[in-house]
Amino acid sequence: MEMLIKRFMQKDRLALSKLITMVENNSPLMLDIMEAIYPLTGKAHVLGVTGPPGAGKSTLVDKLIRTFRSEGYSVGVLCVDPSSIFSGGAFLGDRVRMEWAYRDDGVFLRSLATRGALGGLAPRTSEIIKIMDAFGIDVIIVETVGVGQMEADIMRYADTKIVVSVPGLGDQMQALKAGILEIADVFVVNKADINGARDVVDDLQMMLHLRKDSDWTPEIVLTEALNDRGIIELYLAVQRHKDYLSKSGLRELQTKQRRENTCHYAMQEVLKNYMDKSLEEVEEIRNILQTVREGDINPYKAADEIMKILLKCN
Amino acid sequence: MSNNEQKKTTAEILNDNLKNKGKSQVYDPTYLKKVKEGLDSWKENVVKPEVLKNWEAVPLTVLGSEIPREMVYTPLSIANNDYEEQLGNPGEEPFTRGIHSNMYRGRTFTQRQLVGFGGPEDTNARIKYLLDHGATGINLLFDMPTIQMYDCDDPMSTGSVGSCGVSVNHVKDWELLYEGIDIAKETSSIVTHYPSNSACLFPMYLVMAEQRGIPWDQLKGSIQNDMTLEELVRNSSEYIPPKDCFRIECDNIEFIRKNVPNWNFITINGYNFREFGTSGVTEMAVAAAHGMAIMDEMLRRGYEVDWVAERLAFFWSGGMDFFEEVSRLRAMRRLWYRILKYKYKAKKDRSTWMRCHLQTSGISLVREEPYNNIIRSSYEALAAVLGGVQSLHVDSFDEAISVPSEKASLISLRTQQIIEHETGITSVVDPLGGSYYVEALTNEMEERILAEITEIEQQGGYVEAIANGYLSRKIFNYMYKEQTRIEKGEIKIVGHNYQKSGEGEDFESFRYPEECEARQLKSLHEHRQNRDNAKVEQALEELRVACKDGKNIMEYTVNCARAGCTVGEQWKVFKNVFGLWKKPSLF
Amino acid sequence: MEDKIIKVLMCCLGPETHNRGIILVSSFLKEEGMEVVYMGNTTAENAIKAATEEDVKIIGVSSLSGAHLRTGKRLLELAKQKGLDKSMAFVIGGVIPPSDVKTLKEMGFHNVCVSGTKREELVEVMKDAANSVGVYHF
Repeated sequence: MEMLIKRFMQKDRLALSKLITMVENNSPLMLDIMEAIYPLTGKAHVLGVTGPPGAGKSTLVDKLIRTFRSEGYSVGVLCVDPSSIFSGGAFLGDRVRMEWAYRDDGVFLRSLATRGALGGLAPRTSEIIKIMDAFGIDVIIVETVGVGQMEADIMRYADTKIVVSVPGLGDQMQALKAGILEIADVFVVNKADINGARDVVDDLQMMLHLRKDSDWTPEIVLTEALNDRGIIELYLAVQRHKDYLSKSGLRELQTKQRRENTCHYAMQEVLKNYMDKSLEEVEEIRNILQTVREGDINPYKAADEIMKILLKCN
Repeated sequence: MSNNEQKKTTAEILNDNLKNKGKSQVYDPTYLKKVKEGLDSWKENVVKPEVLKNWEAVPLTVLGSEIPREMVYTPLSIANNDYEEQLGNPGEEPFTRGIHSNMYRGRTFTQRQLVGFGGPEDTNARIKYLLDHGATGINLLFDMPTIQMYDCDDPMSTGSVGSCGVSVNHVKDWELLYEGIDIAKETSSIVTHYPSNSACLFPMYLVMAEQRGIPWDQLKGSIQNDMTLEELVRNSSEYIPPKDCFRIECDNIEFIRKNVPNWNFITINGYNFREFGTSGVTEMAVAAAHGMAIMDEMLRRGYEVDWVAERLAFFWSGGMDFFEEVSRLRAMRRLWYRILKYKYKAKKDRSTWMRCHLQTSGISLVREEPYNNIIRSSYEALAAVLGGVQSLHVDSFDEAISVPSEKASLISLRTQQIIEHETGITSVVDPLGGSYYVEALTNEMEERILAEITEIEQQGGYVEAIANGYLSRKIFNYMYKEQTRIEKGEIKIVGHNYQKSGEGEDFESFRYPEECEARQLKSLHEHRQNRDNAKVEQALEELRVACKDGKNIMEYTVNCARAGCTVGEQWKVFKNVFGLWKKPSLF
Repeated sequence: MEDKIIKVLMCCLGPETHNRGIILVSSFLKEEGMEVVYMGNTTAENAIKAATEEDVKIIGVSSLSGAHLRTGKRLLELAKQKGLDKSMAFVIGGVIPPSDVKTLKEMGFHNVCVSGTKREELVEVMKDAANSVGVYHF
């Protein structure tokens, strides 16, 4: 383990990869890992990219990677794909869609499966981002499944949240509206050469009129990723948002909040593990559960009693 | 054409035209009634009840269509067949019985064997060997790097040069390939697969002819030039968008039709599509939809239907379900005729002919007991001949193991020669015509193919059905299901999952010369040094502009060939101008 | 520790035109609960780069055009250079003559699945290969 961390500090890519695996697999050494790398975090800029299937996210991200690289930034990419509910397996096919990840050692791309987690993000995404951050990667892009349901998870991890849509989706846009309004920092309308792009932009602008929670007015960028159009504009929009975050002090605020949130989540996890373990192992609790099943005691009262036991026998 | 008519599917157009045609019954109604009574009585009294319950059986074969067959066919099965309407005499509409009146009595099926491995010199020797042993045509296959348009010095080519086909990068390689062979005399089927690589490779053949002083109108042969292969069937890390690929395909057709009048400018697939994993019905439906897309585009460009249709040819895969294979060839001949006549109003008979080349199925051959494959290919070849193909390739028995050895190639050639000269089959045209079974099945296949054409039209046509992933998903579903069936033993393959004896596995297979990669690299390097690089740059730039401006691309790729550009250099231009297409995901 | 999920990288080395094999195998493995990083056609260098970043247990190669000895050798050499030969297993399959199987194994492939290998066998081979990989020590 020490050797592993040492090599990680020496910027050994395989070491980075192995650490990610350990964290992804809930290694018992996770605490040690996070302890070792945490001090080095805080420098990376994290982009969350989401949107419905068919929006061309992968192509867009690919072109964006190229732009960042040409400006000298090192890039990390996390691509998330759904695990099969039935088999638990997954087809991780995003990598193959990104030309630039292939050739360039300045790009580190990792495919993650959702492994049963809801919300479109893989478990441990937050930790993995921190590890990449600690490794020294400047820009980390997280691309998600984007099924339109709440990508609220992105809020937890991303500094700049990018939502990609395409003209002609009609109903899908309606469904996304409620969530997008609150979270996106940059809207991208991809495949902007298709009829209806103007309508999407108009729709978005109307929605944004109603949103007044911050000084940052979300930017709308038109792109044709396949034809290399609009990519520089997107890059610049992202940089502007990044500048806004530091100048307004929002970044620091978010960082503080995130630190606390991370602690909360870590606590929740510990509590949940403790609870799950106890529910299985502690006989007294199992007995109470049995009576709950039989209907002899109401579940709420039972919960109260179980909690008392849990808190006692720590 | 009114708006309404424009929106009609092919099936509807054909139906409109055919439904009012008079019917002349083949069989006397009284006679039919007697037959029916006899049949019913037989079913009741002679046939066992459990057999009667399972009257229809579904043969399960590799690449089969799972069409149910009755236990026996009688005149009743084809009671409504009109001889003139449904069959015609050979060489007469609707050409079901054959496109020529005397078929193989007049001109036998061309015996072409695929050839290609190593460097041009190696393949040159093999071509001469086959021609000496009686092959009547050259069927040229390129190596993976050449097919995928990587020059042999591209990192992707490392380790693959000369495997599975011949490595060819520029015109000089072609010279070596055809050294001592008279291209004015020998016909070559150049298996270029895709529109993009056809646009780069065929011009080199043309420039070679130029350099030999042979006028282009003396050249005979064919290229594949098929978008189905480039966008649907091909595995690659880079694709150009379907609509641009289709444009290149049509540019190639236009150029060749004008300038190389005796050359077949497309061999509509067919084979590779089916081999990937689909039924004979889907194979033909996609090919037909493709053919129609070409026709529509050529009409849009201002040409007459006959101008293109006269030289369209198809390339089929020959599977194991014997009678299905025979029947579908006849069905497609009739269907294609009907489409060309009623939908496109072709004026010449030639335009309505479904002329075709067939290759026996590679995927039906297995590794275990490889000599069994000779038997499989023989049956597939037999079905093809009985179905009336114009040209045939028989796969070699070591197909599942490697590139064919000389011995295996020879046996394939002999298979064809034995069919032609020893079985007596070719003395009669359409020998199975009139069989109750074959005619019934021919009718059934025509219906099914037409139904799938309608599905493709509902997707927006052939190009759209590719772009939106519909056809990819269709193949994947079929392939997956078939694989499961094979593993469960529902589709029986002797020696593989049925009666497996495990014998005959150790086998010395063909070794291609591995040092050819080094040889080719050296040759390419020298070529790049010795050519006029300024000319090359200029030609490539002109090509780039032509791509952007919508000009006919082949005019410019011919120029590139003259200047000494390589295949890889031209492909890069295509990629840069058209951009890359991301194939819709299968899963 | 949830090390039970096996991560596999599936690729074709070089410009293979056929992908029936790799597609079918990828879907089988997914159905067996494995995570399949699908790379399609790629060079040995890119495959190694990807394998490093994805920390796969197995690199699976589908070879249908007869170049397996050359491309396979290159892959294994590169892997060794990068020190990956101890942390992952290599499996190759496709159109491979029986006489090459031994050579490939000697080269360093854990196993060879010639065309026609049944699904169950394939899965067993993969599981076996995954198990053969020890814990990586830096």
